Amino acid sequence: MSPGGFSQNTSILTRLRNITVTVAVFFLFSFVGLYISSQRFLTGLREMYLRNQLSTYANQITEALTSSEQIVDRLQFATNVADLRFSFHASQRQLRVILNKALRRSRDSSEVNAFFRDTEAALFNYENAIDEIFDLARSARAKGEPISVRRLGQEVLVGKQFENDVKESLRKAQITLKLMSDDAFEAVYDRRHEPLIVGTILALLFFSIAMVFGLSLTRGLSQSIRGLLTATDEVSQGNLDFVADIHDRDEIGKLTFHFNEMVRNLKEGREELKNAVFARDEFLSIASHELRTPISILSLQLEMLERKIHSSKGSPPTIEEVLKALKLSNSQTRRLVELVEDLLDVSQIKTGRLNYRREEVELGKLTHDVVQSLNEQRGKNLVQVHTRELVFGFWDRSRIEQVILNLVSNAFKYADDRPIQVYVTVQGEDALWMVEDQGPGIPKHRQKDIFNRFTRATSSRNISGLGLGLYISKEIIEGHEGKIWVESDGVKGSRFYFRLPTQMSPKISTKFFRELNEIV
Amino acid sequence: MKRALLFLVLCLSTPLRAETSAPAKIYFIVRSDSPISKLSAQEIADYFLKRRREWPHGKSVRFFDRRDDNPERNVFLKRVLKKSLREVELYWIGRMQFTGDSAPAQIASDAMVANMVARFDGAIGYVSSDFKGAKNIKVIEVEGLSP
Repeated sequence: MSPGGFSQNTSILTRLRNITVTVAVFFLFSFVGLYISSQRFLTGLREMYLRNQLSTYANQITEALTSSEQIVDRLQFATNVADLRFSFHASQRQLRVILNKALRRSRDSSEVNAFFRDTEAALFNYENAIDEIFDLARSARAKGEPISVRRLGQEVLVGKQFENDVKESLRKAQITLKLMSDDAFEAVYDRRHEPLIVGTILALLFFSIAMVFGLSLTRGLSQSIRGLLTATDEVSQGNLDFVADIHDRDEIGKLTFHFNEMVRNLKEGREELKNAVFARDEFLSIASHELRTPISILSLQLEMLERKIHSSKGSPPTIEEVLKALKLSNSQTRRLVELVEDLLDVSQIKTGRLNYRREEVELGKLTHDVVQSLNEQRGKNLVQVHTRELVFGFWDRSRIEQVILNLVSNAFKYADDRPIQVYVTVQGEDALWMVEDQGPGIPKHRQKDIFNRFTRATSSRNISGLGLGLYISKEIIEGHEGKIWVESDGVKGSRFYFRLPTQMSPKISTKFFRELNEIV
Repeated sequence: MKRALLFLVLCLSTPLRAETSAPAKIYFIVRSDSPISKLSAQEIADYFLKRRREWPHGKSVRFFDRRDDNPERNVFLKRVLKKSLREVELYWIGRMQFTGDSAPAQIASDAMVANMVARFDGAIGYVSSDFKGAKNIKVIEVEGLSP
């Protein structure tokens, strides 16, 4: 699933493929339909051909019968009866060959086949009758008598009857064949428009399918593109609030979706820029205020000292007075140095030039040292450090110290003299560090912003600071591949955590050992 | 009116014809096992001219005609077929041309006709009234003969 719920099923390409497949299937069915239609035609033609063939056979049999008849007619004048008999049987053999063909060919039509069988039976009788005539003639020749005209006439008459039978059954077969052939022709002729009708219907179907598919596709596409065009017009005229409609979840829909995303990002970027400019202006005013305070105190002290030295009336300032002024000036100078260092760190982070010099550090000891110096500096003993075990890791000592100092002094700053707890433990592979104060807490919606540059949880001016501490801390912890976060209910107290890996990742360890080798 | 006129003409013409052709009587015979016992002149004409080729019981018709010079033939033509010799000849020439049918076999004697009729199933022939004593044949009644 791609972003925005766009699936491949609705893509234009898939739709085109579906159309192609549909058209192919349609063509296949069309070919099958046309083939079946023409197949029926061909079957009808074959039927007609077969009937005509059988009819031709019947004609051939009749002709062969006539030739046999002519042979028999020659009997009255013939001298050699055996020759005549032989040629009669030769003619009959030819006739029988044709009849057998007809019988074989007419097997699928029982009616016609029955007629041909009748023909066969009548032919058998006919041959017997003619044979009897030949026998009569032979026996008469053998006795040397003339053939009895009466006997011969009777036999010829009988033979004639059987010949008529043959002809009659052939005639019936021919009539039946003619009717069947006519039926077959009628069937073919009646369906002569069928391919045209089938073709027309198929063409219409194809046309409508093409229309439906094409129209739906182009309409959807043009709608989507038009929507996108309107959106680009609006946005190019500066209306960043315009959101283009997504008509179809296809490629153009995806394009529209991404366009909307781009416009939204642009809008957010603009707002971020505005906020950044605003934050920078505020920072400048805070920074100038913060920097001016120690400078004005410093210059005031120095002026006072100078005036006292130059004053003619009074005695020169005492050592105590000078020391006091110097101490004050010194603290203000340190404050200035701190501020300037913070700014330096920020610019280094920004340009990516912040380097870490890793060494083996015990986090509990480090925390103890930092807290002790802080307690001494403030003259109060508010912070308690709880360590359960030794936590070793390869970190930049001074930077981690800076983070701890920043977090604890933040707690000091906001804690209103209430006790502060610091916990150092190991959780899995990581070191977990936590400071808990009982100050005003941080509202939920601000918790994300406080790690940004130039922001402070409370904008009240009575708490001094540039608002850079947490930003620098976050960069340092993330530079050590750790994580820093805050937990607070926004009413009372807040807990700042950071987590640092005790094992070095392979990338960092190779870098570390390379540096170590260079040093050694 | 027309019918009455026709009747009159017929009444007048009959004695004339009777005088000229001296009619002999003919009998129609079939095989003794045939179910046919009675036929009209029109039916016999149809069977002879091959307008009908089969008996009502399904057997094919074998008509045995007589030679042109037999007196029975003249009687047959006149009383049953009601056609002249020439007309019948032309009819068979036409049949031969258009359907390939030939005329029935022509037999010279009563005895041969009786012989053939007795021999073939579905056969029919005619003999003169003075022919007697044949086996396996029976005489059938004929209605509607011209006088």
